[in-house]
Order: sequence, then C-alpha cells, then structure tokens
Amino acid sequence: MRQLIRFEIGKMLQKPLVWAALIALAAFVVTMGYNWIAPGYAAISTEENGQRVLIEGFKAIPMAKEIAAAYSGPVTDEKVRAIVETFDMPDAFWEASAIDPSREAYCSHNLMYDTLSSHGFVNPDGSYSGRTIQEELGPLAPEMILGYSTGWECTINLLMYTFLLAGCILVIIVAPVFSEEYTSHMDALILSGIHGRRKCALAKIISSYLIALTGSVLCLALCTLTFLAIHGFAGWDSSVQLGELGIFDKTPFLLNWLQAYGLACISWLGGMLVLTSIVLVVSALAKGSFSALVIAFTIYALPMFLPWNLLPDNIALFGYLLPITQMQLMKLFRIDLITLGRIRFAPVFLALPITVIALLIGILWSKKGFSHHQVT
Amino acid sequence: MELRIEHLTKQYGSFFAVNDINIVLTRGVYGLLGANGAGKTTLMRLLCDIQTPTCGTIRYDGQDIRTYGDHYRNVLGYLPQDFGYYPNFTALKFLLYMSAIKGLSKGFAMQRSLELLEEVGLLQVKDKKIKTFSGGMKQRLGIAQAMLNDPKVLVLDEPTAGLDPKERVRFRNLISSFSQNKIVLLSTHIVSDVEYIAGDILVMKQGKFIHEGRPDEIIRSIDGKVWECSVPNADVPSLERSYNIGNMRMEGASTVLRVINEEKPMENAVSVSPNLEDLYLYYFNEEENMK
Repeated sequence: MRQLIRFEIGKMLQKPLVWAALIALAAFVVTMGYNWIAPGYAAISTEENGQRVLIEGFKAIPMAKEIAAAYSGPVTDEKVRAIVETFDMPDAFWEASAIDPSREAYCSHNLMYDTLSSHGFVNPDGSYSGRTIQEELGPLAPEMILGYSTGWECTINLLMYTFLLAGCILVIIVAPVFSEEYTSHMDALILSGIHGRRKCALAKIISSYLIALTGSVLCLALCTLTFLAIHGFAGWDSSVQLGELGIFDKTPFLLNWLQAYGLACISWLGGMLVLTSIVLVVSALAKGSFSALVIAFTIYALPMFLPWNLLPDNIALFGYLLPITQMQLMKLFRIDLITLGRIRFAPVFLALPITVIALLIGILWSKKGFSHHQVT
Repeated sequence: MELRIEHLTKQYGSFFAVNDINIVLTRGVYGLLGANGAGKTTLMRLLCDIQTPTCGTIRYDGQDIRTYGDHYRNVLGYLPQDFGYYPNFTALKFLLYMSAIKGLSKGFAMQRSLELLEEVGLLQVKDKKIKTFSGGMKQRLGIAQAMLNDPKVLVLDEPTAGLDPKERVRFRNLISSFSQNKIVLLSTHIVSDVEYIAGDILVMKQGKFIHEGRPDEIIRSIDGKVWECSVPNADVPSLERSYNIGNMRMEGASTVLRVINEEKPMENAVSVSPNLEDLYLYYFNEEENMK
C-alpha cells in the first residue's frame, strides 16, 4: 500500500501545471507575507523637528507594541478618550505634509488610534467623537480587551487568502486523480489488476488527503512561525473586535486572537478536507479529467459569489460551511454562538462533524465510483 | 482450466454489441477475428470484468468472475486496444507500478520487470520515458505488463494494430512464446496475426460468433467459393463493383483476380484453395465496404 501511495503522490505532483500552481502559491505567500507579516504594514506617525514622520516596517513593530502595552487591558471610555487625545496630531503637522487636517482620521497614526478611528470614536478631523464604548462596540464592550493585535490579524488575513488560493491548487491536483485514468485509458489496466479496485483506489484517496493535509499544515506552519518570530505572542488575549483591520469586528461574541486563530485553523483544515472529498467524488464520477476539473472548480468557487447574507442566519450557515466560505472565515465569524441544550459553541465547530461526514462520503463514494467505473 | 461463457450479452439501448455468446475456452491461443464494430473489444472488456454484461455469465473454473473478483484478476493479463500509459514514467517504473497494482512483492516485482523487459527487448531502454518510445516499443511494454503476474488468462485486444510488418512479426513471436499453458484470446482484424499463432479461430460478426474452430476447419467452410481468373486490365473496375475481389496481380495487359463468390464468376475462372484472408473477405466484405 505504501508503495502505491508513493506512486500516486508522484503522479499527482509531477505535472507541469501542478508545479506552476505551487510556484504561484509560494510567490503569493512570500509577497503577501512581506506586506502583511514581515516586516508587515505596521506604521507609526510621530513628530520629528515639528514635522510628521511615518515610521514603517521592522522599526515600527516594537514602537507599536510599546504603545499597545501602555493601553492594553479592558477597553473603557477613559482609555478611548486618552488614546484619541494623545495621538491627535496638530494641524500644522498635516499641513507640512500637504495633508488636509480635516481628513486626519483617515491617515495612519498607530494601531491603537487607527483601531478606534475605524470604530467611530474619532471625528474626521482627528478629534474624539465622544461616543461611548457601548454605543460603538455593543453590550459586550466592557468585557473587550485592547492589545497588540496587528500580527495576529495580519497573519489570519494572509492565511485566509493563502487557503483560498490553496483550494484552487488542490482542485488542480486532485481533480485528475481518477478522471485522468479514464482519459489516458489506464483505467482498463488498473481495474483489471488484483489491487486496482480496492488498494489502488484507496491509495489515490489517501494520497489526496495527505497532500491536502500536508500542504495546509505547511502553509500554516510557515506563516505562523514567521509571525511568531517577528511579532511574538503579544496581544493573544485581546479581542478580535478591536483589530486594526476590522476583519472580525462584526463577531457577536467574545473572542480573543488566540481563540480566533484556533477556530480559523479548524475552519481552514476542515475546508480543505471537505474540498478534497468533493473533488475526489467528482473525479471518480466524471467522464474525463477536463470535465472533472471544470465541475470541481465550479463547485468550489461558485458559493463565494452567492448572496448568502440575504438569507436568515440559520439557513445561510449551511452556505457559510461550504469549503470556500468556510476558508473565508468572516461570514462564519459573524454568526452568533449556537445553543444546543446547555452548551453554547461557535458555529465554526460545526466544521468538525461536517468534515468527518465529508471524509466518509469522499472515501466511500469515490472508491465505489472508481471500482464500478465502466471502461469505454 | 476453462473459461465458460454463457448467454453473454451487452446491450447499448437497442444495439447489441455482444449478443448471446456461448463458448468454452480451454488452454490454447484463440484468434478472435472480426471487422471493426463486430463486438470484439466489448467481449474482451466483459472477459476482463471492466464492463458489466447486460445478461449472461463468464465462469473461470466454475466460478462467476464477477463474484470471484480478485481471485480472477490475479490470473488475468490484459492488453487493451488503447493501451494507456503514463508518458513521463520510464519503462521500468511503469512495470513496477503495474506490479504494485497486480500485488507483486517489491523484490519480486523488480526481478520480474527486468526479466520481462529483457524478453521484450526493452532492457536497454528501461530508464527512458515511455513518451520517447515508438508504437512497437509501447506495445511490447504493454505485453510485458500483461505478463507480470504470469496470467492463466491472457486477453490481447488488437495488439498489432498500427505496427509495421517487422514489429508485427516480432510481436506475434512474443505472444507465441508467452502462450504456454494459458488461455490466450487475441483479437484482431489483421488476418495474418491469427493465421500463424492461433490454434482456434472465433469469427465474430454483429456481436455473435458465426464460426469457431481450427483455422483449416473454418477455411474449409468456404471451399469452392474462391476463384482465380485472368481478365483484361480494362475490365477490372467493373468487376470490382460486381464481385468480392481479394488479391489482384497484374501480368502485362491482363490482371489475375482472386474472387470470392458463391458461383463461378466467369468462364475462365478456376477454383483455388481458400485461405484465412479469403474467409475474412467472405464474411466481412460488406462491413469493409460500408466503412
């Protein structure tokens, strides 16, 4: 069996199209990683010789951490006022940089000020709006924590796009697993061999899941280790609603960045495994490799363009648990905790049973589809 | 060792690709002769259990091959008409892959693959990619993979199609050497392929066997229906339209025609001994003309 798995993995990975796709993914991760994680886009506006100076990159990270440390902890109205008033810069600084001072709120100051600015605590001219934390952040506000969230948020954001792209590459790798045997007429030889219908089919299935899992873990490990090396563990306990980019600002329950990262991992890995199952079934049942590729890609990509938000949450949830929407995270994180008797849990956890069911269906159906295939 | 086929039928809508075939195959080489579309390939796929029959059974030593499953596939070797391969695999890697599918242990697979590569004359190019091989080399690799598990039932579907005469002779000799103590079923529409190596010939037309037996017995069925006559060259085109003509040989101003016809076609025609090619033309002339 191990020998068959090695052969199947070799067959999957030795195609020029697969290599081109993997190189594209690597280029994407490196380019976007440079923009988002190392050195990232941390920017600090500061004063130097009466002028506004913008510090960016590696130099800005320790400064941003220092500012965050000064205000970390539960968010309060006093803290909000203090942050806005401390970092509201004089009009002269902006004028010297040829920036309209009445648009100050839209310019980078630092992560604390920019987070509050994105939530409506800041007037366009940069001054404090006077809005309370309950008015802007809702009833959960008193329990929310401020902290250095930039690294966590950027890493999750980068991984989200990486997995969306990795999904496309997975379709390219897995769609031909069975269907290419039909196109190349190898099906007759394989299916007339003693291990063709069971062990070979199983080797193809195991290889597909191994590639999906290994690829996902590699992406996760690469991005996470880079993030930890550059940004460290600081801010893990701060609330996702108080992120600078606002990717999870609509999350209706308390969640810190470490928990969000954990849930995101479940979501991405689950999404990749469900996608593998779907593509395997399509590959086994399709007439040829091209039709398998087109059908699998359509099934993967189409749900991203459907207006799930027009549906009630409990119905839209099914749409949000499809591989591509699951990997997008944001929609899934906007749905409130699910109550089941005395247990309350995040909707992302539904990805676990769905993944198990998809694995079973993927293994059994694709194996059956291949072993019952009629050679033509 | 026998392969018993009973009422075997494969139907696509109202078309019968294989129509109620009954036969018992025992040790020996069987040549399956028929025009394109006669149902040879479908019959072979049914024999290899890679297509499901509409009705009927195939039994190997009394066991239905559909329920016998892996045991049957363990004694089966198959070279399909459209021999699939992985272009980027080397010959040796391809045989090792097929060995894994056929359940051969890793050590034995290497030994057997090298042995077969030598037998089919591909040992020197074992590390070359298959995409660089000629048609004949690919077919030889095809027969090598079919022989990996030393099968008891060897099914070869048009193995010589597309090969030049030299490769065809070489391939025929290979099949002969591999056929000892096996049931070998060799389908072709190239008469000379079966003429030399088949002990029995099955003539298939429209999904049915219309003749089965030893070559000389089958040929005897058209005794008195093959004629040779010398005609002026100018008459050849009109005679071609009227008669089933086999070989033509020009001899100056006249042409010697080999005519396959129930009746004596012309006064100067003399009856000659038929051969397999005449038999083929006798039964499949209509199909060939339709093509």
